Amino acid sequence: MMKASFPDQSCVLMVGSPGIGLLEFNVSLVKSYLERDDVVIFVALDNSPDDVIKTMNAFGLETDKLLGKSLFFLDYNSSLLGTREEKPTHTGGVRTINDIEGIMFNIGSIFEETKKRSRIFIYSLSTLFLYNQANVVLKFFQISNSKIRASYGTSIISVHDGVHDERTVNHLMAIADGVVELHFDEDMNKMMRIRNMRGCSTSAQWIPFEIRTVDKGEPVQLLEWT
Amino acid sequence: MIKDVGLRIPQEVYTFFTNPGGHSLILRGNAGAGKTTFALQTIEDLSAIEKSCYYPTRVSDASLFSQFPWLSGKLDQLLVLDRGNPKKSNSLGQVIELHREALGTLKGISPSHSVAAKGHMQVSIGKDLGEIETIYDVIEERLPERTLLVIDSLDALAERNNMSCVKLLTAIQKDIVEGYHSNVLFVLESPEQQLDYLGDGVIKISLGEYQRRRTREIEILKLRGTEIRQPRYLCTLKGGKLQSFGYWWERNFQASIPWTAVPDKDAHVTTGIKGLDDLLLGGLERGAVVLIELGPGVPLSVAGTIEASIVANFVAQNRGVIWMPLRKTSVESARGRVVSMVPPESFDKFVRIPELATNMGSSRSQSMMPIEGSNVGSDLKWQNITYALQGAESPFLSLIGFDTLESIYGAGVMEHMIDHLAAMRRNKGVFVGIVSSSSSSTQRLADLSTVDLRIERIGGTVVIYGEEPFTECHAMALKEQEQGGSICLTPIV
Repeated sequence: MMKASFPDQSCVLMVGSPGIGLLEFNVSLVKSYLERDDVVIFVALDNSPDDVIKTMNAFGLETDKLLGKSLFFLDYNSSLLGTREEKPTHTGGVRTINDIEGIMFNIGSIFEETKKRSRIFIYSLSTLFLYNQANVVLKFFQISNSKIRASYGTSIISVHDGVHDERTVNHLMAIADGVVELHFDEDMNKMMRIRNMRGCSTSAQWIPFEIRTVDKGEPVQLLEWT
Repeated sequence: MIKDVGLRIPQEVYTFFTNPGGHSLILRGNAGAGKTTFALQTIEDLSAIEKSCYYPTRVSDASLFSQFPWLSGKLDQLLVLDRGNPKKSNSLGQVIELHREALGTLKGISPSHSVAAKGHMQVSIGKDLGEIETIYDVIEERLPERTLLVIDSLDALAERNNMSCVKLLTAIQKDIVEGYHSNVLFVLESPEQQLDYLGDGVIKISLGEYQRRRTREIEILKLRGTEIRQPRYLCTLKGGKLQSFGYWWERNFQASIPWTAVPDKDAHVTTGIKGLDDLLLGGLERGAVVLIELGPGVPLSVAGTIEASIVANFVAQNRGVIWMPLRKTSVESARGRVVSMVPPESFDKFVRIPELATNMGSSRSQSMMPIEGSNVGSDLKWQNITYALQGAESPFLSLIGFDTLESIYGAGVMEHMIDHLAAMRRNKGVFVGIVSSSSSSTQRLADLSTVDLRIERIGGTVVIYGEEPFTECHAMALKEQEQGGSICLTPIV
């Protein structure tokens, strides 16, 4: 199992190829933080909080017990898609936001409630680029990271590889304290590396990673060929 | 005296694995040589001192138990990793286990492509090496206790994990052997020697042929830190178990149990060596002429023990024996070899040892039978024999060492032995002639014999096989037995 040990008060940019399992990778990190009693704030942009919660449950997280206590969702997805419900599904644990400013406002609010440094996941920045101009998102990235580093803890911000121009991605990498890259090799094996991490020596070596099922159970046939 | 400790693997292998620290042993050989049986035997022989983890990669658990039924009794010391197959309900609603992994491979569909197991997900850094990681888990759970891990085979495990044998062996050597100080036995499917330099020890097991008979040999090529006293062992897989044969005949073995006669079976006369009786399908027929040929390098003690065993069993049944010992052994010396097994008075009463009258001088033993030494026909005349063995029961045994016989009567002695052989046959006695490789009488005696046995030395092991009747090689060893002598014959299968 993976355990995250990113430096405290840092901003980590996670760049992943489409289909690599970026959400699962994020959820795995969320789990490792929650298991050591950290507070996690998940900013849902690509998926609804319910979808992310299902993924978390698949990883063995008992979200019912954690929501509103150590796990918080900022639901920007509903607002972007125009599917916001009048009554939130998880009162206290899921907070809906309508604009980009609401992200930092709610992070500050949760910090005031919990009085604990948080691990803030933004999944993903690519969706923000869809609805905002690049320079707006870059500014948000720079300002929010600065605030999070100074006051709230650690941020892990995801961006999909290959969907933004190189200059934008380089800009994001320049702002971040560390960059984790996930991609497929020629044989479609999942590979990752920590490209850089401020204050740490890192290896340029790509290492494999897998997203797998650990508990044995009745297998499900995905392709019937019998 | 050598104590029988019940060790079936070579002593050196046992010592190697019981030395302090962890050790890796590479076991290689062609298919069918007996690698799996060797590995399982190692587990059994070491079971008293350390627990074992056996990981078969190619043989299913069920077929393993059917091939080696004794394994089921050792389950508490064996760990067969579970590789569950997908299940499905049949038309009757019964759940059946699917075995379609190989078919899937033929179809070009890996099971992992079509099946998703239910359960919690996780992201793992590094390749998913489920089986190999489980092996590590098992070893780690037992620490600091030392475990014997048997991987059968390394080739298959490496292939399944898409890695080279070198990488896999190096990793296990570094972590489990050197890190956790556990013992590891790697079974390799190929007899090639490319990986030999990576293991602490290397053993090659091979199938061979000797005089159109199957042999199996264990060759110890390397055992780091262990003295190799015997580099080659003949072995057998009789009863699904491995038994290696050491240099028994080089050791000073003395039976501690008094001789108990082996009774005749049906119409056959027993030889006094149960294994030899089995080899001869019950024993010797009355009137049999038996030729025992000793090959080059067969230790003196082998022929001596065989002679003594046959004589002792006849004496124990009050049967008369004419005995001309090999190598011109003196009467007293020959008598001394047998009276440790049977009462001396019985020996004196029922055994006669021909001795040249001119050589007898003043020493007179009741067992001596004076002969002139010029004509064997008249010296061993039936009337002389029956007179010398008055009071003895039949069938009589005539046990002749031909090196001694030829030294008295010359190389052409067989021309004059016909009458003696005929008399023995006519009177339903048993004639046993023992010849060495330098005997002149071998061919002539072979023509007349009804049973032709050969004793040879293969490596350090003495084997006996029948030319007539044709039999496979049997390894000879010394072991205390309830009946008969200490000679134990084990078929090499």
